[in-house]
Amino acid sequence: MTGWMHNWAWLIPSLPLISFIVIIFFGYKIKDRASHLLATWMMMFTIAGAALMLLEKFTGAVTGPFIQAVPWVSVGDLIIPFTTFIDNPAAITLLMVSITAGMIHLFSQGYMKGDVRYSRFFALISLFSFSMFGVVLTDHFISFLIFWEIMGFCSYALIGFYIEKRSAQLAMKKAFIVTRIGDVGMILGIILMYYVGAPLRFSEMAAYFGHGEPHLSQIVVTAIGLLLFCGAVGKSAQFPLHVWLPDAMEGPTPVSALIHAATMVSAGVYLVVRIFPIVQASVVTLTVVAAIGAFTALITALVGLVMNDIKKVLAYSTMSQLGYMFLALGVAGYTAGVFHLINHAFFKACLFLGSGSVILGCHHQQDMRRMGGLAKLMPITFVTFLIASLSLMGIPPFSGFWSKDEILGSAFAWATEYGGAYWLLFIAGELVAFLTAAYMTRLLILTFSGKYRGNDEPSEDFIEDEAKLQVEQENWEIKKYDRSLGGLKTLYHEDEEHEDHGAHEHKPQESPWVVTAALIVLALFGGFFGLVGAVPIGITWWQGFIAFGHGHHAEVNWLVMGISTAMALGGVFVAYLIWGAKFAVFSRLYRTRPVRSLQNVLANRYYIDHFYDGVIIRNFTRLSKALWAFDIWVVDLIVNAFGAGTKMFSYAYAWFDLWVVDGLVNLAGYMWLGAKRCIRPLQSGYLQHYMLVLIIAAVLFWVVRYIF
Amino acid sequence: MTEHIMMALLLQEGASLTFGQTMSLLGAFVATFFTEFGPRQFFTIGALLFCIGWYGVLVRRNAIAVLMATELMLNGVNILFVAFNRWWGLKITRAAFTSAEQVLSPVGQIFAIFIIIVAAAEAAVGLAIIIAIYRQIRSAKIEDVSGMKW
Amino acid sequence: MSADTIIIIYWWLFTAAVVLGAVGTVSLRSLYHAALSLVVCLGGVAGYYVLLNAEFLAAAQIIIYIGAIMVLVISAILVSENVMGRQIVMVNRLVWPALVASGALFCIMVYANMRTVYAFNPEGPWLDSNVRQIGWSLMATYTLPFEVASLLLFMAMMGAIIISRRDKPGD
Repeated sequence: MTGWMHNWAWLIPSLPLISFIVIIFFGYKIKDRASHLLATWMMMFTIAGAALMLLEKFTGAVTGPFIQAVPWVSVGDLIIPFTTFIDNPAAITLLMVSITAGMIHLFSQGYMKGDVRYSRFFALISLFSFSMFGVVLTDHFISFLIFWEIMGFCSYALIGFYIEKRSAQLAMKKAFIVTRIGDVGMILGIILMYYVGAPLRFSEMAAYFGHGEPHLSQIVVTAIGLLLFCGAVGKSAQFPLHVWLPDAMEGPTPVSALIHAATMVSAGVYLVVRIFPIVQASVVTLTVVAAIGAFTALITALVGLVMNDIKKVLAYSTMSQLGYMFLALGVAGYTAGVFHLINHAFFKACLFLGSGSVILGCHHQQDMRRMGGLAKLMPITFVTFLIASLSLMGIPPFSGFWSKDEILGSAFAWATEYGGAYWLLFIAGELVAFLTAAYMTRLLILTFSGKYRGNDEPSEDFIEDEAKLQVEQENWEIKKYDRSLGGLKTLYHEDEEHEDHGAHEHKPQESPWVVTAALIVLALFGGFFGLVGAVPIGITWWQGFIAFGHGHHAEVNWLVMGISTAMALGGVFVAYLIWGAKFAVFSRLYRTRPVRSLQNVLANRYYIDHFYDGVIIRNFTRLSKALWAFDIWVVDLIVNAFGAGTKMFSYAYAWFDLWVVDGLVNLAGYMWLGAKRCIRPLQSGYLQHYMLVLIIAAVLFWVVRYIF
Repeated sequence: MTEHIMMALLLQEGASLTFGQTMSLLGAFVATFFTEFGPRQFFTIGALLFCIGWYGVLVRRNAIAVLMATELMLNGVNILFVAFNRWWGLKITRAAFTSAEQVLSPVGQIFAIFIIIVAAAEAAVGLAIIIAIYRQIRSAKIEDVSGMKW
Repeated sequence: MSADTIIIIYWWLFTAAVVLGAVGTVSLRSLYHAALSLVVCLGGVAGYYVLLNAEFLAAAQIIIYIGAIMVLVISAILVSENVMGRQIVMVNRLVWPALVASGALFCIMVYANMRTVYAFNPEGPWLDSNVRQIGWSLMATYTLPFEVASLLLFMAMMGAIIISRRDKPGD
């Protein structure tokens, strides 16, 4: 059937939407089992749909990008439709999102088991899937914006899933506000586009901004590109709006996997992919994109090297890889960027789910200092984790190598073409490859090798960190409830109740089948999907599939491949030396002053958070307090003055009404009372009085008659 | 004769009389009382009786006295009727009941008889009421019967 | 003395009776004396009727008015107790207003009388037997009023009896 799935493409987002609505409204009535079944099966259908769509594209059933529109708002000549625009990158991304989301739905059945808010979780990730599909498929910028914002809300709600935890509350606020700052820029960009008359539909942008006649001045195009890129910076956690992503790890692990590794943060990259014609039209925009990407990649990789929480390491790794993607797009490596997006989603999701499995096995312990030796205890997890890590590090022949190599190749080509400072991008990219390998190896060593340290005495710094969190939680509880409810100890899962740190021994076990199945699927994709773009198997075909003429076709660059592989292996070796073999020289080095201070700086994330908190947030809070004072004293004063004035006026009016108006009315009454006093005696009841009146009347009558 | 004087005085032209003329008219009027026998005198007496009777009704406290004053008023009116009849009665020719050629129609007298009849009835009923009230309130004073006041 | 003069003398006689009797009725303190003066007044009126060629009426006046009505009134007076007791004040507060009003009324009527030109028939009164006149009139011309008057008298009699009856237990 020609383009059958394409015609029904709008069904794909609708399925998780239905699941969300059902679970939200009937979640109390249907049991947990029903909600997860519904959600997961919906996702399976979407996987099938996405696969079908891709198949149609492959088999050429539908050639060229496909557009289908339903008008939603028609005001004069402004028409905002709900449209789908499915070109090849969209189809591929759709498949990636559906597979990842589907596997994570499956995984959540195991991970979230026993949680009291089980159905709410599934409702929220269904809603999120709906909005992500919407982002991928939609054509018009306004509907894109709608789905974008829904994603932001889901991220907010899911980060704060464990809402009693103070750290979670702070994290959810931070995530939403920081991404919102980026969204402001994006909205300004959309407004600017509309103002200058550029088309708001992705399908039409290529023609408008493409090579040929430029309708707009370079400055405007650059401005539009930069403003729109702000949204990507916020959503994909690039510098300087990257501060929310590590804190977002407060959410449950499936959430971290889905939203903050594979899909939502990729949405920022996807945005740049969609508006690539705009970005490409201005060298300034391209440079900014690439520079921010490279810079972020570098600084976050450094921080990832010193984190102790397994999820935080992966979070920094995500930011670093996203930086890679932006770097790729910034050097006009369209294909490379998309390729790495897809690959990264798969293996990062696998890594997160693997970490989830590990956490589950260690009874919700996230700190790597208390893990170890899990390779033997949780074999499937270990193998899948290993494959995904190798892919991430860029070791051939796994997928990550091919996509990373293509990025570095594009950077190299760009630098050779334009020279000068662009070499910095290439160098930064290679450094990041080194660092990536290093921190991933550290993670593997600490988590899977050696002996299980969960039952040992915790080290001092571990106790310190835990105590800090506990104090923060208790302080907040005291502020809110006037007494501490017990702090963090009361907040974990129900089956965590028997948890007694160090009191009894427990051995981590392999996770249930729902978890491991998801891991296996994702590891397969993460490890081997990239071979479609592998050299020399299908790279030209792949470029042809994705590119549609964007970017330039890179030839095979063996030099770059060699350098990147060397970097990766070098990173592994160094990390092994430091953390694996534990040579004494390195321990001594560690204790030296410069290394210690460097460690502190990295551990505190370059004090950026402190800076933001102290400078920006404090001043904003002061400003809002000042405005509040203004509101209370000036505005409310005026309003209350009006109120008081009206009251006084009403008193005066009441007086007037009482004395003047009522007085007049009463006067009429009193007049009659007076008249009554005069007239009443006439009816005295005495016959003789009546007769007197008679005779007087007769007399008067005749007198009057005679006189007049 | 004085009647003719009065007539002469009255038949002058002009609606209003001067004071002198009024005085002379008054004098002539009084004079007719002594010299003439005509309707004018009877009308005066009838009016006098009527007014005295009304005065009595207004002034007397006892109910029976008021009744008697009412009788006075009725009699005054009776005089008037009969006097009118005497001087302005119709001439009936060939009346059925008489052999005379012309007779005076007795309408005024008939009416006066009826007035007497009614006065009798009214006096009877009135006295019955007064007696009934007297039995009730032990007083024949009119001012004690003022239930119909405001 | 001419016939006129005699008539006038008689007229004055009767007028004195009437006027004095009337004044006595309204001003005598004792109710009994007032009733008697009313009798005198009614007698004077009867005399008037004679002068006015209404002999039957004069007789009727004496028989009915004096003989029946005044007897009734006097008996009523005698029945009610405080007739013997002299009341201190037997006129109410309305004396002066009543005097003024009645006086005014009288003056008006006199004035009207004065200002009228009486054109009356100078011819004789065409006299016949008054009794026959009245009899024929009542029975022939004015039969209906006559019968109605009898009915009226009957009702008045009944009413008077009923009103003045003492309450019996069987009522």
